[in-house]
Amino acid sequence: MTTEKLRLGIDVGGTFTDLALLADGSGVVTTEKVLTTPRNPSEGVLAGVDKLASGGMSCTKLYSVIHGTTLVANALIERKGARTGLITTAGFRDILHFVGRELRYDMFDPNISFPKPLVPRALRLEVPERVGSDGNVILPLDEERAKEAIKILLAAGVESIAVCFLQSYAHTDHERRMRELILSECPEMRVSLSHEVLPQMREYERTSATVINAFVQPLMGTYLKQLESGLQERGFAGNLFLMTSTGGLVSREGAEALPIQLVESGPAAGALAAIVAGKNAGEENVLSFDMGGTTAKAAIIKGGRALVSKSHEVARVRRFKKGSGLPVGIPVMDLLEIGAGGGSIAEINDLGLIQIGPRSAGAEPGPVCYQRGGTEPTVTDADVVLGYLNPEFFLGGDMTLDEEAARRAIETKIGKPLGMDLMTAAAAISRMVMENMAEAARVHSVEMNVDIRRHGLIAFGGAGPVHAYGVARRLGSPFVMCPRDAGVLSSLGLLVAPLAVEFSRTAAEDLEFLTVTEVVNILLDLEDRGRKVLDQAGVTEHVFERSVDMHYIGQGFEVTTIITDEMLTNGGLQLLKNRFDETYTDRYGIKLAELPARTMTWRVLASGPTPEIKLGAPAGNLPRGQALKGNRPMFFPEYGVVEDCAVYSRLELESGDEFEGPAAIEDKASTVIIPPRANGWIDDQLNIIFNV
Amino acid sequence: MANKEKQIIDSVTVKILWDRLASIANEATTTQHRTAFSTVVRESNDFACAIMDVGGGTLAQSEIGVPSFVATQAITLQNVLKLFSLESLKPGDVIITNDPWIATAQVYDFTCLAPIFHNNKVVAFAGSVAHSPDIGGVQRWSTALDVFEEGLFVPPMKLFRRGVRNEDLFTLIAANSRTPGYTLGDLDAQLSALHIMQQRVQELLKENEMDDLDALVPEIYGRSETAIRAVLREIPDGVYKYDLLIDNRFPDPLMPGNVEPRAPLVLRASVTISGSDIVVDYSGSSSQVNGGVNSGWTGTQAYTGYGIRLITVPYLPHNAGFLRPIKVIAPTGTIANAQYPAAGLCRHAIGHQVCDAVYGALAGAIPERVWAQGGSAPGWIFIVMGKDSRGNTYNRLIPINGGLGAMPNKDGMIASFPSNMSNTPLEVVEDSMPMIMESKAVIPDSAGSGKYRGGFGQCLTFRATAPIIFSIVAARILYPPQGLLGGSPGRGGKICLNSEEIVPGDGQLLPGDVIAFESPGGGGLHPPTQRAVEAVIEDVQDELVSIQHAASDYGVVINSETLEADLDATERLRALIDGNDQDQ
Repeated sequence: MTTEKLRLGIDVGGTFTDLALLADGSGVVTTEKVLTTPRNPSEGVLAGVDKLASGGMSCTKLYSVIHGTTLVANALIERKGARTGLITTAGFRDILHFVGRELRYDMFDPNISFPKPLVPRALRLEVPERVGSDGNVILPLDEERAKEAIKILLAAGVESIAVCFLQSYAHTDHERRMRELILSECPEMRVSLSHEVLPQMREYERTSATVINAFVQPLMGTYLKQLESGLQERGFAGNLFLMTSTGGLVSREGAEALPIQLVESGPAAGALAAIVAGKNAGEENVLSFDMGGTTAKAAIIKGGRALVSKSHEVARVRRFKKGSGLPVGIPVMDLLEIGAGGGSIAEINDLGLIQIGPRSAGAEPGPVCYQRGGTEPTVTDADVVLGYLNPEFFLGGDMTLDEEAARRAIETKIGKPLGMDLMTAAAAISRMVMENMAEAARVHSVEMNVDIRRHGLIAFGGAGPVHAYGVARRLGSPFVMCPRDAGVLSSLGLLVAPLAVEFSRTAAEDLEFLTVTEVVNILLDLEDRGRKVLDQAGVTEHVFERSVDMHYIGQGFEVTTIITDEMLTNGGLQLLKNRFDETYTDRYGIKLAELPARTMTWRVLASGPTPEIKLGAPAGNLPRGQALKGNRPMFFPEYGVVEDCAVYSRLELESGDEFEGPAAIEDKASTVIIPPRANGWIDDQLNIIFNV
Repeated sequence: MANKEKQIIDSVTVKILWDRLASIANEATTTQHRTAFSTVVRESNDFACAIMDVGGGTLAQSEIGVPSFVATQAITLQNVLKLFSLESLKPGDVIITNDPWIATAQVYDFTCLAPIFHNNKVVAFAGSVAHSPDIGGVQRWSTALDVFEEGLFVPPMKLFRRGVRNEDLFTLIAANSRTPGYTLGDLDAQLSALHIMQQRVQELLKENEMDDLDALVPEIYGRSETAIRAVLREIPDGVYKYDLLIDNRFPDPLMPGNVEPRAPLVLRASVTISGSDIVVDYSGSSSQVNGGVNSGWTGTQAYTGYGIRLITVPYLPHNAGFLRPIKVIAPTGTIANAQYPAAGLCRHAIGHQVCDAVYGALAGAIPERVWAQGGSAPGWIFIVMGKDSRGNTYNRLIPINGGLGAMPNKDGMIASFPSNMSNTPLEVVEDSMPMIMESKAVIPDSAGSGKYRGGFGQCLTFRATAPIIFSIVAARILYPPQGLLGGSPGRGGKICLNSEEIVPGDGQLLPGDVIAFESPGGGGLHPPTQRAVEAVIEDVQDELVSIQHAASDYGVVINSETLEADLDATERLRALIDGNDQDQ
């Protein structure tokens, strides 16, 4: 009898921790859901593992556990990280004091706030040393002063030290020597060096990233230790991997060294779920649309991969406002966050117009219809009034919604003041929230130079499937897909990510002055480092994706260009230039091929093979009942009240079932609204798909 | 009757269409930002886009960009419509100008305007302004005698006629630029932005089966006007005055080398509130001075409107409705309205200060809304020119921001106001120019104290490694940013070349020369003794405020060992400072 090999994906969300267990040979998926334990998330994770074990899973058969977590992001938002010190080049400890590029991110905010640095000024110490942009040492490291600085920080009780010297990406000796000096004073100190965290030009971003890494490192170390020993106690002897912010995997050791990579670990798993769902439907270009209680998150998936951004920020002081957070600098999956959710409040603004969000009633007190003290009408209240949500079947009937209270709130706060009847006011709220989300997604797609109209919408989250039809209509999406149990899909998404590690190095140089040999040497060094990490993780098959960030001389914005093998032969650098020109045109829509280019940051992404995931058919032996539960009236702005809209129970629908709008399909997690004249069907994975 | 019925538009539709217009302006801005070539647009955001109505009012604007550009392009359109009648415009026409007196007050900014046609009728205008990478000129910011020395002057002309390029004009512009590729490339980016706005507005009308925007426009303006009037009405009627004093040692091109301090220039704002109308009158301000530092008429209007708008109806999307109750008067020939053909490259030296004059006047009337004066008005700029190690000519503008004035309920920080220019990363400076940075540091004790303190000034030190020609535009050195309502002034700025103080202007650096900029700190708001003790302690612990300053300015007694406050001693000292002896 062959031993069945098992892989486990664990996705820790805000409320639930989802686990998905996959048997490699049979493709059978077993899932489990437990409550998240925010104070120590490893408790919830281990409770889930125990539940799976009591269902028959043997931890000894697990060869890998893949984990997505929001721990890093939460520590930054709540500012609950380590007491961190920073050591900089003499004259530059205030780099961190200058917020970003000194721009006001909202020119009409008369009380504009900026995030406070994670390291207070007194814990930012200076050491004489200096390196030029060409990597030459201008002033050697002053070791005596360095030791004094270390002593001061130790006396101040820091738990983690970040080191960021100017131009250190071009010459790493001084930072590395600093680490030796720190460790010789205090061997257990955690040290983050800027050239290791973000080896790139631009001192504010690099310092910010290094400090973020240092700030969360002790916490992450403790958590990983607890989790790993908990798993080992249960007989686990395989590898523990963590999901990175770009949707790759990193080993436990890699995660501990560079926890900044995990800053969007949780949401990245969610977007991977959309990729999996899209692939099931044979679509590689989709828009992942996840709408919950306070926010909607959108990610553009192109060619089966999420777009990546290098301008990600955490812990924004004004939600949804670009420029109001701390930049992380490293590549992060491009997730657009929109201030629109079920709990978004509808109010009348100073212009006498209805405004939806960004204020939100969240889960507490929540929408008026929750009867938990909320008094301001929200998007969910409008959904109830419009008939989209069934007051008797919210969360599968676990909660009853007060429709009357929702009506009253919309009538008194919106309808009466604006002279509208109830349904018009409720429809206005619904229309506007759809409009807001669609417009935000559209403007963002322009920024990324993607034609969003060719992208199907993969809708999740409690509020996503309710509003997907309106967003899809406005965006011109060819179809909407509402995957079955999205929480499970997130944890499944973890199982399809390859182990991947990226190393990079900035070597600013005009392309025309570079030789192929120099380029090959840089890349080989990066590949070696990647290979070592993969080898340690027991991955023997390696794929290297080489790229370089380039710009036209004089420009400040880099474009990542993929390097192919033939570019690394004699005369190949002209091919690199051609590829950069094409990539630039693709990204920005203009041709500047006649201009000379400059290379900035060389990157190697070393990955193991992409795991195949062969899903078995969903358990189909359950006795199925009548899918059509009944009818109810729903209001659609273009049609008015439509009586007798069909209401289906999602659990009872089978692959191949077809239906016509208007209809509502309900399950415990959400309700899918199908507008009039739309046709839909259930695919072989029990996803709901409809055209709008 | 049917027509009249069509004019009624419900408030939900108003909101959706209005948001859509804002979104179109953002999309255009993104397109321009994405496709522009020059760093001045792409890194410093020195541009803006707007959609305007057929009468030349702003309907919607971009979220990023320079605040004044939005207002100036509407003024430009109003003037252009006097030269080209609405009826004479054809689909595909694009009008360009950089005439400082009707555009942005500086020849380096190109304004491009295009009519948006729908059903054979002009329904709106698309506009885009951007600082051009180069349009010729003397390139010494302080030595130009008049506008002709500063660059190619382009009066309103058609860049496109019925969609056909005016090749003669393109050729002329290219021939007058040191970097014709960049200059034309950035113009292309502006044209892309105009095109997006045209296309999207047409789609919007078609989708909603509308003939034009005539029903929407009065809704947008009317609602905005009502909102700002409601706030203005709260301000007690009266005439409020303020004299803002300005350093008077800008280089005089007619008397080079004469840097003797002169009596300060006066920017006089008389703000009359009557009912919900506001008139800002700069009559009585100093006469225009030689050189390019005087504000232009369009810039004075734009920044006055922006300043009032910011503190009365914040957060809301900008449009011309907010400007309706605001009237600006600035006599020609004063520092607030330079007379043709004055030079104007440095017009922000005075133009950036108009907001502060208005806030100074209104401080007593609306103490809960005003900002104190800041160290980025004017925004200091260090323009450097020379050849890099590859022998290529560079010409870069490095903004050096000071401390913002205290805000109504917040301390100032180091940022740009009223403009919105971003800094240049130090490592980018070193990589692209022959300079080594020696420091970028906050200047302790430089912020004006107050219940809310100003932002601190910064010290930025450069060492040249090759010969460099430079121009500096800076002020608030002799007359520092003032506090308001009992707040103290920030520390004035200072510029030193090899440790000797110099006067801002044009000059030259030799290899090894060190130039150090100390930008001004912002002024404070309300008496410093009202500041929360914890906030003072935090500043002391952050080594931003000295223990001596904590005591002398804020009346907070701090133990130098523990860095904690002695609350009893603090109470006594604060009472003493307030002249409020407890024995009485």
